[in-house]
Amino acid sequence: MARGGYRAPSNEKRAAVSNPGSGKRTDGMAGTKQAMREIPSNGERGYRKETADATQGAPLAGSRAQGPSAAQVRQASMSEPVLPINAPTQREGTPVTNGFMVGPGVTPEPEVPDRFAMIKAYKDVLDTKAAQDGQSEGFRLFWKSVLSQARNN
Amino acid sequence: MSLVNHIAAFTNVLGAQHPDIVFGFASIDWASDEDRNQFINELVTLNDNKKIGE
Repeated sequence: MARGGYRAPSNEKRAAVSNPGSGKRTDGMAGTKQAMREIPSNGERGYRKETADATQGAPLAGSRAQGPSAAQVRQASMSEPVLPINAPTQREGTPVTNGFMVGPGVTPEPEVPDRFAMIKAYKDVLDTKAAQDGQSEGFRLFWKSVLSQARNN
Repeated sequence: MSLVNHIAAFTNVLGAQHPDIVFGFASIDWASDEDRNQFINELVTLNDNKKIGE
């Protein structure tokens, strides 16, 4: 019997490794419900029962979320009738271009952002400042010009 | 944007020959730095459009 030398790795699945803090389970129990655990009560009367009652009400981390199964979702979607592509319209009198920027029907107004919202927001403050005694004529004229141009844009 | 850049932005918009205008705006009690920066951006936009002073 030969000893030593190269040994090829076997095809057996290697044991999973979990890094500290990664939270991954290596015992193959991922996705199953966690067992109830007892927490030391430190002598406090009724603490254990209170904790047990509280943890039974909500799923613990790692347990499967409660919700409709894929089959239930599929069945619910199939229960609604599907209109064939050549079926008559369900909206008589509504143009096919309704909601588009061109053609008959309702045309949405394009949203134009206010490019000078902050100038308008500080209008009262700057109006007051421009009206103050001792304010320069240059400042007054400039602010008047800014306001005028912001309104027209 | 720091106050220095804030003043510089105004100076850039208005020209260095208008320090009274620059400091007139700089002395405003802004609600936030974002408000002030947005205000400057809007002035710069007006200036880029060659609208101020026309």
